[in-house]
Amino acid sequence: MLLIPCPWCGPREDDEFTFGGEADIPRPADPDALTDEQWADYLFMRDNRRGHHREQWCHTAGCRRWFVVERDTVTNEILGASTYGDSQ
Amino acid sequence: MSSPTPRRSPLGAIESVQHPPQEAQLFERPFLTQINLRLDPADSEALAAIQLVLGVQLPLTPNTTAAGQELLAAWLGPDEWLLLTEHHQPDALVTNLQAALTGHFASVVDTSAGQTVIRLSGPSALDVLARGCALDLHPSAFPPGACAQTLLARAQALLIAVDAAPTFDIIVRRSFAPYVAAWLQDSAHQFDLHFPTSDTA
Amino acid sequence: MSQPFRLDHDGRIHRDAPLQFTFDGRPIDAFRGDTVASALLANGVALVGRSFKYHRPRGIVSAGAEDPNAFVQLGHGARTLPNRLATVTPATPGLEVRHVNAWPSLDFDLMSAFGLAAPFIPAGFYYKTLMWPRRLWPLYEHFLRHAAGLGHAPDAPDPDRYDHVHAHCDVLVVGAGPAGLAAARAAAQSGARVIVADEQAEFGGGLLSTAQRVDGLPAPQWADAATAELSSAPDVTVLSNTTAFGLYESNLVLLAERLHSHQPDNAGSESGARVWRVLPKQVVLATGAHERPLLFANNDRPGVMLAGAISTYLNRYAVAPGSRAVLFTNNDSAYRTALDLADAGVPVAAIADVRLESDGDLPSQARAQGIPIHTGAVVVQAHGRGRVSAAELCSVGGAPLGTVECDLLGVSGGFAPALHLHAQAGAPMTWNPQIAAFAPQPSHDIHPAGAVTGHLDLSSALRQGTAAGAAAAAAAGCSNGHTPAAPRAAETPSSDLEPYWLPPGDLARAKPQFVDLHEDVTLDDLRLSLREGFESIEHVKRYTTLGMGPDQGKLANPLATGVIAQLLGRDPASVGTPRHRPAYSPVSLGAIAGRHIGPLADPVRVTPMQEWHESAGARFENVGQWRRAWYYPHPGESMHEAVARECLAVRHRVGILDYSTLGKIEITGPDAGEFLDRVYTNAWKRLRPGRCRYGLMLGEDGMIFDDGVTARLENQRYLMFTSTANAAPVLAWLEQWLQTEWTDLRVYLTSVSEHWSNIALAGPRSRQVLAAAGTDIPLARQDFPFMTFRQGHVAGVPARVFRISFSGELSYEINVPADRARHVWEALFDAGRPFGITPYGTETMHVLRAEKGFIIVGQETDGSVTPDDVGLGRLLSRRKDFLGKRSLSRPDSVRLDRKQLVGLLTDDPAQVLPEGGHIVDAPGRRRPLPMRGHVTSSYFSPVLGRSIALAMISGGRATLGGRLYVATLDEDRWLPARSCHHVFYDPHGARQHV
Repeated sequence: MLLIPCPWCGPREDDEFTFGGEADIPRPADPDALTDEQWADYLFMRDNRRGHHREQWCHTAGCRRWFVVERDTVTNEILGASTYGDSQ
Repeated sequence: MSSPTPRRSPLGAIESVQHPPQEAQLFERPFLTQINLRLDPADSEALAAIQLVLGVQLPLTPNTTAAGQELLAAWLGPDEWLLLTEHHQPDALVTNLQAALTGHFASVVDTSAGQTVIRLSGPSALDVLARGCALDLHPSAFPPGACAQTLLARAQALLIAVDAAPTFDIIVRRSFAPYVAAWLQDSAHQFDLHFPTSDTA
Repeated sequence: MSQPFRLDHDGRIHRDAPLQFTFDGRPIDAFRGDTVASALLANGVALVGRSFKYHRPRGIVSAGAEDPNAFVQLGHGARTLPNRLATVTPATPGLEVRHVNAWPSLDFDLMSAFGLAAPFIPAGFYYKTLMWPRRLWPLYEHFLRHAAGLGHAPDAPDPDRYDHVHAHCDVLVVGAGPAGLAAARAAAQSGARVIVADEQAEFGGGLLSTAQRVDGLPAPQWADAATAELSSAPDVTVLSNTTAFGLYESNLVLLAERLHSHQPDNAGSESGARVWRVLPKQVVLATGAHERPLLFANNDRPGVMLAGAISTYLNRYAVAPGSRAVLFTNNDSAYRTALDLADAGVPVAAIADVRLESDGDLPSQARAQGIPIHTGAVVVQAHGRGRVSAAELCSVGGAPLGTVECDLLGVSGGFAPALHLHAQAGAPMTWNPQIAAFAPQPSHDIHPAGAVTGHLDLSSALRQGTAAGAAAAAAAGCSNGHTPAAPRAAETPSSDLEPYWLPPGDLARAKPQFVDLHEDVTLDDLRLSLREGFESIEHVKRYTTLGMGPDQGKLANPLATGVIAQLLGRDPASVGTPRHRPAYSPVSLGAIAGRHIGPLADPVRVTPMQEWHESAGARFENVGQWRRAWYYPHPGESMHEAVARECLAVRHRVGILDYSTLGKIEITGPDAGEFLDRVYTNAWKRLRPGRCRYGLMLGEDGMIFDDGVTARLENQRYLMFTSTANAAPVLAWLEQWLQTEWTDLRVYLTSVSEHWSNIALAGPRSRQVLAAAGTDIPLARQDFPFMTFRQGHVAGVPARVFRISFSGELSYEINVPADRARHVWEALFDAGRPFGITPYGTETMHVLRAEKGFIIVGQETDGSVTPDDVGLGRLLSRRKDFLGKRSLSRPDSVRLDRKQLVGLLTDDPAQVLPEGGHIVDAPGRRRPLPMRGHVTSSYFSPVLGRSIALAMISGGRATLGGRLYVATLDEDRWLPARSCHHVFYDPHGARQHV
């Protein structure tokens, strides 16, 4: 069980959350300008990093906010969490 | 507007039919007005306008409530609140709020019929909730005035700590209410608490 | 004579409370305070079970949760519990105890013939040997399954109540021996919220079986006082009979509290067991250590027992587990057992000590008592069949030292920390050569204390416990300035142990020497595993089943590490230990399930009309968690007949459908139109208030994710309908874009799915019914045309009415607040009687929409279907971007052979195709047969008087009219059909516009 620190509600058990995959993958501003390869890269390619990983979570059963969690994918240690407001 | 058609709660209460005595430790509080309010907490003008209508300042601290004379405002998210009252009809409150918020980016939505309130009170309330709620509801962690959206058994719920009895209001979506009531009753069973049924009239 | 091995004084048993239970039907006398094991030993019962593989006789080895042999079956019938340990089960009046794994009886075990015929079945035997000849496997398997039984499951639902409790505390103390009690006291005195749990019925652990004193009191008395102090403290929860069986990430600890469900007089009462789900801020692990067994031939004979366990039975339970003892040790602790035995009047015939010198405090005392001590000596074989009768001694050099008669052979290979919980969490451990075992490393939130750290003496356990309790409380933020003083006990200096893994020289070849008693894994099995290349400890485990029993190899694994290291000539630290996994001891499945059973297993969601549907005789189907009316059979009607009647009623008259389960999202804000433009494939900004539009939502991969109608309620306010199943996913998806990507858009989303119930009236007479029910909304065609919405009242209730249609008929979807929906439903139904109104369920809804060729997301689509695939390419705007648009021009999205939606008409109009059936161009027996596609929906259409089906066919639209064949489960039976356009009824949509 992961105790996930919602930036708003504090630490909650993982079954209150939905995982949203790797963070920091912005949607291309002009998709039509991309080659098929570039679009596929945005669509499908993920780093699947071993160790420090920035990922999106949503506090589905709580405040419904999406936020970014930094997690070590080897130890499952959670290194921090930030709201989208913080990072922009 | 108030309709002559009696309303029915998800747990069987019928409006204007006598409800069970509220000294029970586990009972439904049907037909409360429940308004979902969204606005930007940085919009201080909007906040002030809301305070005028509600008589209470919207709580900006996560997982807290603010209680006024006639109405309780519960924090649901950084730009989202639930307004709970038995003193205002939903349509009137929506109209007043919308009028106060004219020109502001905000949303006022009536959800009264979509959810209900179950009240659990008494010394064993914590033990009952601990059967299905992962939150620490010890008064040191969840004092009166605190609220939290979380999971109660397998349903989403908004918990509000009402007083130190302790008393909790448990707000659940309508279709989940029978499950949550059955679950609370099952957990409360060993503490000799029973759910009074409303359709005894 | 009853209880011939019961000592006549001392112990923690209540001699004034005698009781009786049964073991295999035999009455066993005991006292309150006994465990089942101590009572069996008091009655001279040496044989408690047969081993797993060879069915060798086995006895009690330990006095705790580490026992590999003492698994028994408790109770009978529905309330029976398999795989409980006699060593931790309190003896209670009337308790029924049975052996497991001996057939047909314990004393006459047929299965041991297996052991005689093939005395030592090597590891991997089943797989290597019994697979040949293959045809005999079922026979072997039957035999093996019978042999491998570990007790039996109840044959009826368990009437006991199992539940779960969530708990929080500052400090959780696992284990209530000296270190645990000291830690719990220290933490509580610091003002922390404390939970302290111990698997035994009584708190105290080792304190209950030692003659030492703590703070001037006899140790057991001190334990009682400390326990009483904790029990009366306000923020301390004291849990006995409670095993911490799992420690997970975030320090979630699961405890299983046993509530004596096996009591025969407890039937139907409150609880069988309770799982505590504890989230402590800090954990003190005071889980103690397990004494390590030693290898010698026949080291599994009943009567061979851990030395510490002998002391426990003597001191705590006032039971002498034998009448003449030999002890075999590599450390000082067994000398305490020798002294305890001598005190109890049990002669100690010999102590064999691996070490060349033993001159510590305890050995000196034993020597002074005249106990024969052989240093530099080992036991190499136990004699006796049903029970040990003698021990054969040898020098460490291999020289015979003679045979010593005994019926009790105490062994001590040192102590291995019980670090299972620590290791489950993945916390680090290090090899401690001092104790020749792995010991846990403390972390910022896990504080090991006492024997689990490798420090075995009482005074350091008390000191460490106090320090750990105080440190944990402080780390949890509880500090009231109070520095608790550690309880004091006398120091007992001891000399180091001498690691001892294998008997000297050829004696290591003697057979059999058991490493894992539960799994019958022998030293030879380990050798075989290593010889065959399985050298990693995890491979050894899997090859031999080492440590895979319900005892989790508590005794076996620490021994195996040393043995493997010596066999490989490696450092034990590099050999490691098999990964520890929950559960530490068996937990009954009932406890795992808790109250999530029966009607509470999962929420059943119902609409406000549920009772009406029930009283109308509806059959229901589950749609996710929703229970929806499926069809409403009249008495004597089959499903097919009922659905046909409902379908024709809608086509010719009027039907009423409870469609409340649809997701509904209010979308508010100045940028709501722009937002819809981005998430839907078609254009929204120019939709006028009061109008509705069908929208398709794609994933970024271009595949259909959801569909539904959205209405523009007001200028800056829309209402989106989602499919029932996608209500939550769509809201989460939309919020994700708003919150993470399009943070500049001023849009708020609020779910109103449950506030508004949705009642659909469908059929040519639905306008008349709505009028008859009473509404202030003008209903004339020009006032309220197709794909518009009006707000007003229906049957006196505020309503939003949408002229949209999923049946292709004139239709109104009437949204009213859920708390008055039942009233409106009944009013519409009553008003509809003269018009022949018919309630219809989801099955009819599906038939009607299939006749119209309308897709259902998740039925026609499966996450790999584009809008064009289902013929909805016209909904793709060219003028704007939308989610998924770019993917639609990827080469794969424009392949000509993509599966496309078509209709199918069978040659036999009565033939309803199987949904999911595979479709080929030409049948045959050739494999693989090239597949053209599959049937997605298939019904009998009453209005058309024939069957219809929808299918996804490769390149389907280009080959309409072509002949196809649909597979059945009978590979020689193919159902011929022709493809056609997917709209079967009213292709130009005239009926919904009337």
